[in-house]
Amino acid sequence: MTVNHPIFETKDLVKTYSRQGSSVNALDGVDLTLRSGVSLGIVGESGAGKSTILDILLGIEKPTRGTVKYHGQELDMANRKQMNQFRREVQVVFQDPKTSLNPRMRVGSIVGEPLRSLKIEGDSAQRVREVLKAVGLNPDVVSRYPDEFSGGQRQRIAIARAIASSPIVLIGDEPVSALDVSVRIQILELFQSLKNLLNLTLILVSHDLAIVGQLCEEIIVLKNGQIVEAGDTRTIFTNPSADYTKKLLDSVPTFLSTYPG
Amino acid sequence: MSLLSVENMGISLVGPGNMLVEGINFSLEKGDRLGIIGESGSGKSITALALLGLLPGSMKVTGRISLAGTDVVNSSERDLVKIRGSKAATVFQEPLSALDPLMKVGRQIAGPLKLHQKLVGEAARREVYKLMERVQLSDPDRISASFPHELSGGQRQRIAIAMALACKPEILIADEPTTALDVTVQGEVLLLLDKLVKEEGMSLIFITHDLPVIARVVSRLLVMQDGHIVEEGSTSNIIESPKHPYTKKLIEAARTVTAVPYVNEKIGKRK
Repeated sequence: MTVNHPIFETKDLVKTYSRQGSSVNALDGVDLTLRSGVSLGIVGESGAGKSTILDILLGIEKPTRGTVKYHGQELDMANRKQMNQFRREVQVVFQDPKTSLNPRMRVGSIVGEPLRSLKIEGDSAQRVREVLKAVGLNPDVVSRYPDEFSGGQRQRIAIARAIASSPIVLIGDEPVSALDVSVRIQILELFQSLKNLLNLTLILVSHDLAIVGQLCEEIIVLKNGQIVEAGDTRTIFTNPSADYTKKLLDSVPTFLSTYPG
Repeated sequence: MSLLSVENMGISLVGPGNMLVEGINFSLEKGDRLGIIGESGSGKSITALALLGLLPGSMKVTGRISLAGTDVVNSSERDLVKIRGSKAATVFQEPLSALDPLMKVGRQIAGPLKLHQKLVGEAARREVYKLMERVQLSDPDRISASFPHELSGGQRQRIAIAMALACKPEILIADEPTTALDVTVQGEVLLLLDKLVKEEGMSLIFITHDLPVIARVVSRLLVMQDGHIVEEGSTSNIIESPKHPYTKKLIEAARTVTAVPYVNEKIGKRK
């Protein structure tokens, strides 16, 4: 591995979607850097460009302009060798485990799928059991179907699949938003413990500053395709400079000390 | 007599007979603001639907529900239509699915006016504009001529609220009215609901999984788990000294997930 190269580095990312003659800049000049061990939160509301960034960082979408470097090398979707390595190392957990897990596949093949499709050698059945255990599930669930599990358990299955290929970057796209509050904590704690245990660098995309702040050392705040504020979590939370960041911080629904009566 | 009283209500699946909700008792007086809190599967939403006789045919209600003098459980659909919107109206979580995608929103707001108050034409239009002003939608000409997909989530929810207010209901039932909205919009819609309920002198039933949100709006809380009410009381009592382990767990969870590191992490610390 190259020394001192950031894992991800994007320069002036622009993504334009056009429809019926008019075009929209979903991303409008985004520079970001992900360094090893420094988890990054990407925060913004709907239409901010969160999903577009994510698609580009996952190598699913090409930017209209600008570059994405992965370990110093430009990400090239046509480069099979690079992409195979890339897909082993960068994995994702989506928002809703109801739709991200194939209902017709058994848990064992869901979790083992990256091992097959990325042609990762070794005892894949053993690996599947290992990662299921790592996310707090009984390895014997391999023969069951996703709809036999609760939302939180399904998200654990999705996380097990994501870590099966031993990634170095784990991307979470609103990974707890679809879950019940009491389950959210368990999944956040799981992310935290996997982050430490497996040395993962996280990219967490969310509309929820509180959640991102609990897991990420750095944060960028996106609005209308542009970064309105970026920096380390402590500075952003204690001394936000953009009005929009302040507004987001204020909208975290904390308990008030008075109640309607 | 209470505006709404629910006695020993149960909801079961027709056929297998599994009880989804059981032994629900509560009442609502004029001007009350009641919250029902619970997680998915707790039965809070079907409880709300049952109040207006809106449950799907696959579910059956037992017990008694009396809404402004109407026996909801034993009334015909024709009688229920008369009370929906006029005695009690609802605002649901997802305004995009609550609104008709093929109808301009102005006409949708006018719908209940025509049904319950026989308002049409210019009189209806004036009332629609008045309602849009009540929910703080500016530019009524443009908005009333828009289809739902042309509006933002916040605007759509305001339209849904305007529709709910149209016939001056005595009770507003809001089921996760802010959950699908962007965080910065959530606060605005919540404030709006709170203000309207007070100004119109409505009673409110607010249903959500989000304790910090509900604690800002309602004065009394029912906590539901697995189809049962496990705890009830004033909002301040429940949040400050919860009795039931499940309530404690919910509050703890809410404090943790809303803890902003470096800012209010102290209140979020567990153990």
